[in-house]
Amino acid sequence: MATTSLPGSGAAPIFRPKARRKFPWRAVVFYAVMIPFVLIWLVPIFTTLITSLRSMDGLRQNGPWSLPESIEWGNFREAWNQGGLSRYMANSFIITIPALIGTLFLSSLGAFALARYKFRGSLLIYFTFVGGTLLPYQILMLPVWRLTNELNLYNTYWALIVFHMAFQLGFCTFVLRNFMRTIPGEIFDAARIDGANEFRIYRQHALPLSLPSIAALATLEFTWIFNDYLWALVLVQDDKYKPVTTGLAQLLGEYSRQWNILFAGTLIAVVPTVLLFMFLQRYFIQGLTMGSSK
Amino acid sequence: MARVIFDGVSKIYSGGGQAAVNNLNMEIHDREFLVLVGPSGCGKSTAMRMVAGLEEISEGQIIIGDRVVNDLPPKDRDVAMVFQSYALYPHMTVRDNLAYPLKLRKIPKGEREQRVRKAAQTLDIEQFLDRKPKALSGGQRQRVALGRAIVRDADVFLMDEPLSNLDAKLRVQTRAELIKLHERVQTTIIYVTHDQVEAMTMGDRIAVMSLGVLQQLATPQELYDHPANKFVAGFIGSPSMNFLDVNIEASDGRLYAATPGFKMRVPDEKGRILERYRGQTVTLGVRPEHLVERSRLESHTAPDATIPVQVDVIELLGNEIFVYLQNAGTVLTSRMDPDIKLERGQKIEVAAEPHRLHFFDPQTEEVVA
Repeated sequence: MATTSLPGSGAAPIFRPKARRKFPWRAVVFYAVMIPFVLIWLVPIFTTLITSLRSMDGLRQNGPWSLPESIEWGNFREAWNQGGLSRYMANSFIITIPALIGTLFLSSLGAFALARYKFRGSLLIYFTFVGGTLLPYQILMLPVWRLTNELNLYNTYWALIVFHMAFQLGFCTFVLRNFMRTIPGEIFDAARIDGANEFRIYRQHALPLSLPSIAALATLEFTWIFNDYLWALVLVQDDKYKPVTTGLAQLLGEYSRQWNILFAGTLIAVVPTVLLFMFLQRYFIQGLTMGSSK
Repeated sequence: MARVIFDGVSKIYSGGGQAAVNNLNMEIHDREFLVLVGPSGCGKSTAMRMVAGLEEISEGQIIIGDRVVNDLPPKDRDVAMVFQSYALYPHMTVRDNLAYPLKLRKIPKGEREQRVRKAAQTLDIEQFLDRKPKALSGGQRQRVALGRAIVRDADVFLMDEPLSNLDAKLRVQTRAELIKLHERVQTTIIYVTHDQVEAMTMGDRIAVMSLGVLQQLATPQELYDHPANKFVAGFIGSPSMNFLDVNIEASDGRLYAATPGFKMRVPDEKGRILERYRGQTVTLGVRPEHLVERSRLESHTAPDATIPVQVDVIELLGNEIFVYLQNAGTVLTSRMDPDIKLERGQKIEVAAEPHRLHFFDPQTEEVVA
């Protein structure tokens, strides 16, 4: 601000000391509280990283809170090969990817119908989807287990694929339906007049325009399905079909005295999820419908 | 190229209530520019959407060309539509937006490109073909929306308030361009608007709607000169027509329109028809531009065919003035020449040419004379 001296105001036009800065209490308190939280949050991750990279001997001698004596990349190799993580990891993808695609495909179809067509009972169907997600999954464990048995799916990939698809459908439909309602309806009308049939409208307009929310959902769902432990435990028993989560638990039994291998395996298991998040993050903020109207 | 016929068309939404469109009968001629106008909620958009096939027809028939289209899906009706929000496909380039309807109609690639180029030339949007809609201004988007209709070469163009998202200057400019475009493409256009200026300037004929009912279908001039009812009379023209309730009285073998404030002789040509309203109240309507200071009237006026008024407010607009006139509590608006010298409080007499006076039945609001 320019300082002006008023003639006759009495005060000499000398330089004024800068207005005294207030002590930044807010910032200080914020950092004082948050930094410990961040550290507590990071400690296990950091320990996991350190431990996975050192030898068991060094760990025994110096304890887990010390710097590694040597970097042992071999731990990862051991977990991957002998620990069977290569198998478990492959299983995880074999389960997660079809389940993810199936869920997104079915829920986007359902969401399109619920968002864009007026028909009797549409709201009821919508609420059923929402209500289904509110069901505590503990009460489903026994029925689902028995159903999978009946369907001869128990102890197969399909048990988990089908289950995850069914179980995630509610949430995905809910999210996508609400997103698709925000797309201006005139775009679909225009496509209809331009000659598109309903499935084409879904495929060429509703789907691409919902990409931001589909990408966000895909990221979330991938993480949820990939990290699922409970249902993998309930529905798959055979090592051959176990995903990485129950696989790690298996590792815990076999390598109970070798923390370094165990931790290396754990780190391998989180890599896909972390990569996915890093890769798809940009979709979250991309507003694809911008500029479509007005 | 085709005519469009509404044959007793109604639209009743489930859940009951009033019909959005009520027994609409009209024929839109081949290559005609027909404007559907009315206040919001009058059913004009619904009527258009029924032509497009975006709304089901509850009753009656819509015929395009020689086909009843009631049960045809939108894509088989050969209509193109321009939406108020333009409804461009945001994830496609302008080129793809324009080519989209052609692609769906399996037009070969070569012809497709040629038609897109031609439409882009017509609308002067060639330089934007590779952009996405969000990189265009409102006016440019509007052109793309028009282009998407033009490439189709459809029988009928439907336009749903296509200018209402443009700023005032661009709107006037685009209005003129649309008129020229219609001359060039020679297709039937149904144009929905709530703006009576747009309606008057663009339409070959205008269909005025209110509350789902067609009020009058006529040329702009006819609509202005001979409104069929009080609604049309009030809707067309700005500032809108003055209405006052008058009593039809007889004395000395002549008819007079009387209010507590004045007693004005009814012109002879109207008198014969108003005879049957003697002793009753009717609504007198006269447009502001037709209400002039007595001495300025071209035809000779009988001294008792005027209304004595007091000047209340004068609004200067440069090319014209609006004068608000008082007569015993009744306010009349008059649109006058700016060279007339008036002062507030001044007492003058105003009158209108006989054929500029409209009389409406107070119950039915239909014009009677």
